[in-house]
Parts: sequence; structure tokens; C-alpha cells
Amino acid sequence: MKSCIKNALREPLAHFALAGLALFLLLPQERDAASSTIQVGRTELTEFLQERSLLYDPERFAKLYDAMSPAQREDLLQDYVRQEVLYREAKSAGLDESDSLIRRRLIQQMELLLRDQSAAEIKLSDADVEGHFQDHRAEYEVPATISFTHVFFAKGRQDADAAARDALARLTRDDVTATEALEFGDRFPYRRNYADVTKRALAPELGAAMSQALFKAPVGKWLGPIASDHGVHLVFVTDRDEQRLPEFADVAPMVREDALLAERNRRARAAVNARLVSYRIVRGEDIGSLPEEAP
Amino acid sequence: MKIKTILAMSCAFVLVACQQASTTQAPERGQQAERIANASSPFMGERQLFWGDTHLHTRNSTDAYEDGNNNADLETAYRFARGFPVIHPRSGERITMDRPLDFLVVADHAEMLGVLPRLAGGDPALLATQGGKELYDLQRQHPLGAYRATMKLGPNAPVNQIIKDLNAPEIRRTLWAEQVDAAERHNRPGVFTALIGWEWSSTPNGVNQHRVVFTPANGEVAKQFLPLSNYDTMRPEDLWKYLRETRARTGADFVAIPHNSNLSQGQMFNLANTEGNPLDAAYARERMEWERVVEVTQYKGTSETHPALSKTDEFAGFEIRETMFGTEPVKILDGSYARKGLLAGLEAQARTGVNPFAFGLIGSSDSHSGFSAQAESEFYGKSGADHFPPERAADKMGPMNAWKASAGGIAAVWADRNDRQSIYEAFRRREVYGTSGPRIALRFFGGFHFRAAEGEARNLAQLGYRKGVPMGGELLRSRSAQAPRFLIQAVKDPLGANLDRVQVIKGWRDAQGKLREKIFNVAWSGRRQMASDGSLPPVGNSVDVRTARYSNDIGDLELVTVWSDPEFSPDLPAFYYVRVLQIPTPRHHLFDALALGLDPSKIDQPLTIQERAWSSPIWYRP
Repeated sequence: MKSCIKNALREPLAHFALAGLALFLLLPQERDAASSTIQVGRTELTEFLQERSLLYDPERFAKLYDAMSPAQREDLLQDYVRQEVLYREAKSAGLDESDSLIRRRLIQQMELLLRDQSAAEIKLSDADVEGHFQDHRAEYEVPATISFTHVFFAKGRQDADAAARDALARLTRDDVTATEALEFGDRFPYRRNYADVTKRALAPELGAAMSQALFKAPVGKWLGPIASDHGVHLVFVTDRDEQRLPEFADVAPMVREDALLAERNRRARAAVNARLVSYRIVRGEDIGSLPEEAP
Repeated sequence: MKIKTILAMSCAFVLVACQQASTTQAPERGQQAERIANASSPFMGERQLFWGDTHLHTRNSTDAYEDGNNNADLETAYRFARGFPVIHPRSGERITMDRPLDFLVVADHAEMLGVLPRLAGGDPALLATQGGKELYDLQRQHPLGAYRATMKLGPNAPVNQIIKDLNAPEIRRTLWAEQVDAAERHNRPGVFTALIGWEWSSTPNGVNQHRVVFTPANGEVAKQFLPLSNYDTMRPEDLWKYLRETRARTGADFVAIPHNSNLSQGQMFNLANTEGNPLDAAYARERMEWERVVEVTQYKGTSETHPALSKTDEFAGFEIRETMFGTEPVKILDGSYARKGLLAGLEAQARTGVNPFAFGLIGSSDSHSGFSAQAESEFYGKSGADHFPPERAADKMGPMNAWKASAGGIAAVWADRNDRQSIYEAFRRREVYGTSGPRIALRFFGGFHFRAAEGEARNLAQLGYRKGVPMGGELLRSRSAQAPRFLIQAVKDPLGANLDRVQVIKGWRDAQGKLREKIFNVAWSGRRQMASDGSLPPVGNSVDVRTARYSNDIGDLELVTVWSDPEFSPDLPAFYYVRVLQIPTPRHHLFDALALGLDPSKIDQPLTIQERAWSSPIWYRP
């Protein structure tokens, strides 16, 4: 029985039926658009209430509806009728056909549907995944990062520059470690030590200019003073990693997802192409020149 | 050299004093480089600040799927949170978060977890069941019918065939595994932590009792259990029992986080259990085993307090939600708001000896779009159904309308490392806090020996840990019955607005047994003079409502103070928490209004917002 359904689901015809079905579900329900009668009762209005609040609790909304004052009920009725009339008028004016947003939405829903359908069966080997990685290396580049500690002298201080130069001499002479350096300078509002930070993460806290400078600074010695938005800094860069390609193993799970997505999209395109076959495309005289061998 | 020796000695002392420091010697240059370079290692006993969202829904939540493919799938949700550009499933545009999150809990509703997207894709295993076929047909008949049919409304309501069939363990295992695998795939210790979790959506007769649950356990362990749902039970006591049993069986620890107490009609911090009996010590101990942190702010409003309940709090009216899930008005009751809950905890403690509501505070989004958006200027709506500005402005979502919703809610965690275990431990310690979106850095230490000058100390955090307890901690009566002193540092979001003021909110039970609260302004920007009643003139407003821009010409980048309670009584139990206010900035609907060409002066909602951070409390026990 199970395999019977499975087989049936592999049929293109079944796909088509499913797609139509889902499309039907996703479209607004047509309410007898041809007629000029609007049938409205308790059922319609309680449903309308629920639709409006996006909460589906028939019992509670039935109670709410019954508890409404006649004036409130009249307001609700008017709202419902106005929306229904606008909806029908829009339909009969063909707005759903000429509106590019609605058109795009339908196209997108169809694409998603085709993608979802073709997704379940995909099995990718490790080699497929690694192949995807090799083909899309640039997408997996890890940005450059830097690790450093710094001693800070606040902008408000008159002697900030002089104090910084004095401190630099002592830091260098005594070979002061990052740990001990915490005892130098003023309190910095953000972090004293930065580990593995990217330029993008650093800029909001130290300013773009200082971040730029740090990524060019030599590693393993005290240097400065460097000015930031907040004051001046003495910096000890401990480590810098250039932009690099990660090991495949480190990103494999994510690459697998990407490869799956790519494969899903490929199959969705193929599914669309399969449908193209049943259409005859008539090229108008006025289309202009096309390549010799049209695809 | 002498100075150096003294420095080295004091450093060694700091390191010994801080329990999280791993060495007692100043490390050698090589080791030092390694230590700093390793982002996951604590530096000098200072915990690091990590930002995350413990409450994000993807389209695998039934209510997020009901309106079709508007909302992101798991993969998209994780990628967005990690800072990758993604395609918005509804609009097709490329969107990126301004800054990645450090951690995330995808907390999809446990009820029918993942079922609707699978069903729409024609999943054979689901369609092979009677209930699966019924749900499929229901979807075909009426798009709203499907979600409706999966709901269990009351604790004793019977379940239908759909729930019976699709809630079967063999089906749930596959769907749960999908959640677990996604977390495993995106978990990067030291860089990004994906915690495995879900939402237990207990809503007995419309009253919100929801809890987000997460575990620090890895995927292998998480696959040994299935998330508890409201089909199983609607009683919080049963949730805790389930967590206890599951921990005993699998070794997985858990944190449960109540949220939207504002929609609980007074039930979340009620001094009675589900059966209506007064809380006893056993109840309190069990609750505190699991629920040590509460989500105080999110898209569906802020639950700190209500202006009608805290009449002397001029800033109480912040992002207050007035209706329940539908149009039913919320009842303004003590049990619905965190501050009153913390006070009720003192009351229960006086009666039974154990405080059932000694909880810390965080924020999180509860976004149903799959995107943990946190910025007023880039709000994508409560769900993808109100993604476009005209929809957000119109009442498309009724009471869930985006203009009524808040545009942020984020959790801040002081942890030793960015990994599952460390973040879990921070929640256990309550060394966490929440903001309405901006990344305001907040340190809050309580002790008896902080000196005023230490507010200027360059190693403020070290002093805080050495001489006091961090937020979430407890202070016991000192030998000389002194008033506690608090070391507080607030720093603005590096990409955001300046700060207006820092407040300490004190709650206590007085000698007559009356529960009291008071707000103290303790640090503020500019040269404002405090009035004799303790109030401050407003910071001003630099927002231009014609452009939705503000300037940081007012407010301060950093506010620091050492504050002592001037009204302290050593015999009375109390708690203290910090609230930091930003200067006013444009609220999210102002951006929409301007984009839509609407006249802001005709909008009956405040156009600006004073975003804020709430610390977890520090308790004083006589």
C-alpha cells in the first residue's frame, strides 16, 4: 500500500495534481464571485473574525460574536461586506490577472511547490558535496581576524598623548604582558581584549580608521599611540589570521545544505522545463533578432 | 621592577579569587597569544558578553505555516542568525542581519512540529495515516481549517483523529530529528551556539502558560527524547516532572523559560498551583530547578510591569500589549507582570521559606517569520504575513498587527565561553539580562565593600567578581548589617543610541508584610539636577519625525556608578534590578509611515521609543 502511494507520487501526473491542489489551497477562496448576492450569516462573520485576528478558535469566537452589541455586529458586517465587495470587484475587473504582484506570488508559490516536491528524494554523496565546495570556494572564504589587547587613554584627558607615550616606553621596556597591562591607562567602555574579531565587528567600537590600522599592524610588540573615536590606544597584536579558505571538513555540513539547495533548485528548473515541452511558443514577427540556434 | 611585582601579585590574587580563571600565573607571551587568540577562553576571569535569541519560530511551527510559505525554513533561520545573507521566502529580497547572533534556540511549537510543510510537500509517511489524510483534505477545503484542527484548546478537551495519528511517536521522531540535525549542523562552539529546544505551548482556555525549553545536550542525547507538547499536558507541574524524568533517563539538562506572562490573565506568577492550592516549599524548589529565567520582553509586548500596577514608575508604560491572542482584553493583574512576580516570590518565601519566583530576566523575539530581527529600522513583521509595510500599517493581522507588536527582544549572557554548556550555566546562574533590541552592555555587581572610586576603575569587572556577586546572585546579611553597594556599568550599543539613565528598581517586603517597590535614578547623562523627590528632567528628544533620524548629541556613551540603598533595612528581604534607558529613537512604525507617505502626526501611537535593558535581580536575604 505504502509503496503504491510512493510510486503514484513519482508520477508526473500526480505531481501536477498535487501542484494544482496546493495552488488551490494557497489561493484565496473564491466566494461565488459571479453573483451579486452576498450571503452573510453567523458562520461567515465568526470566520471573518478569526481570519482577522489570525486565531482559530471557533468556540471562543462564537461566544465573542454572540456577546457583541448590535452596533458592533453591524460594524463587523459592514467590514465584511466592504471587503467582500472589494474582492469581487477586483476579481471581475481582472485585477488578479493584471497585477504583477499577484502574478509573481503565484509564480513563486509554484516554484516553491515544485522545489518541495523534488526535495524529499535527493541523496547526495560525499563526493557530490565536496564537488560543490570546490566549485563555490569563494562563498566559503573566512574573513581576516585579529586578536589584540590595548591600553586606553581617554579623549577628555589633557595629557592623553604624553601619558600614552610614557606608558608605551614602560610597556616595551618591562615587556609587560596583556594580563599586567590591565593596570595601565583608563577604563575603556568596550572590551580591553579582542579575540578573533573581524574588521566589520571592530569598526563600531573603535572606529573605521583604527580598525584599518590594526589590520596592518605588526604582531608581537607594543605600538601606538593610535587614535580612535574615544581617545588614544597602545596596542599589542597577538595574532592575525588572513582571509582564508576553510578546511572542507569544517564546513561540510553547511556545504551539504547548499549542495542540496542547489540540487533542489536544479530539479525545480528541470520540472519547469519538463512542463515547457507541452507549450508551443510562438515568436512574434516583431521580436527582433535572436541567436541563430534558439535554445 | 617593584611595581611589576606588585602588579603581578595583585593579578595573581584576582585570578585566584575568580573561580572561572584557569591559571594563577601571568602567562608567557606565547601562551598569552594563544589565550587571547582563542575566542572561547575566558580572559582574566572576565566573563564575555554573548547575544542571542532563545525564542525563534520557523515555518515548522504550525501557526507560522498556516499562511503558506511566508516564513523561513530551519536552514534559512539559522543562516540569518549567523549573519549570512538569505532570501526572504515571501518577498524574494536578500536580507542580512546587521550583526550576527552568538547563540540561538529555534523554539518551534512542539504541537504538530514540522507537520504542515511536510504535508504540503506530499510526505508519504504522513499521508499514509488516516489523520494525515484528513489534515490534508482540511487544508484543501479551507486553508484555516488545518491549523484549527491541530489545536487542543482545554486541558481536558478530547483530541481528534488528526492529533492521534500525527502525534504518534514514530512520526514525531523523524520531525524532531530534523530540528535536532539542523541545530547540530549550525552549532560552532566558540563562534555560534545552536541550542536544541522547543516551545511547550500550554494555553488552557486561552490563558498563556507557554514555556520555551532548551537543553545544553548534543543531538545524540536529544534524539533520546521527544519534546513535551500541550497534547501531553497543560500543567506546568507536569512539564517539570517530564524534565526531571528525562534528565534522569538521558542525562540531558534543561532550562524552561516562561514568556508572555502579560497574556496569562494573572496566572504566570500566581501564588497558587494549577489546582488552586497555595504554593508550598516543594513547589517552589521544583519550579526553581527549571525556571530560573523569565522572558520579560518580546514581539508580543513587555511584561516588566504595567502603569496601573506601578503608579510611581514614570517609565512603566513600555510596549504594553492590551489584548490577548485575539481581541479579548488582557486583565491587568499582579500575576501577569515580572516585577509583581518577583515581589510575590518574597511573599511566598516569607510563608514557606522558599522563593518560587527568584527568576532572572531576558528578552527574546518570538518571531514567527524565521528571522530574529532586532532593529526598529529593519523589522520584518511578527510573521511573514505582515512583511510589507502596507500590511503592517493595515489591520491585516488584527490584534497581532505589526504596528502593535514590538520590534525586538534579545537575550544577553555573561558566559565563560560561547558554547552550549557555558550558556546553559549562565542561565542557571541567572547571569543574563534582556533588552528590547539594542546591544547595551550591562554589568551589575552587588557587594558590601565597593568604594565610590571603583566606578572609575579600569578593571571594573574584576573588582565586581572579586568583591561581590554578579547579576542573578544573592547577598546574605553582612556581619555588621551594612547596606549593600552596587557597582553598575552600562555602555551603549556601539551601533546604537546614547544612554539616558540607569535606574535601580528595588522590591521589598516591609516590616508589616506589605510588598513595596521603588525606582531610584542612580546615574544619568549630562548635567541634569535630580529633584528632591528623586526625579530627573527628561533627557530630551533628538528624533526628527519627518526623517526618522536621531542624533547622539544628547545622552552618554557610558554610565557608571557605585550605588548604595539609602533606605536599606538589614532585616527586610529585598531584590534589586537595573533598568537602563536609551535616549528616544524612532519606533519601527514611523519608518513604515514615512515610507508609505503617511502623516506621522495623525498616527495614534507614540512615534518614539526609549529602548531599554533589564538586568536580572540581585537578592538580599536577611
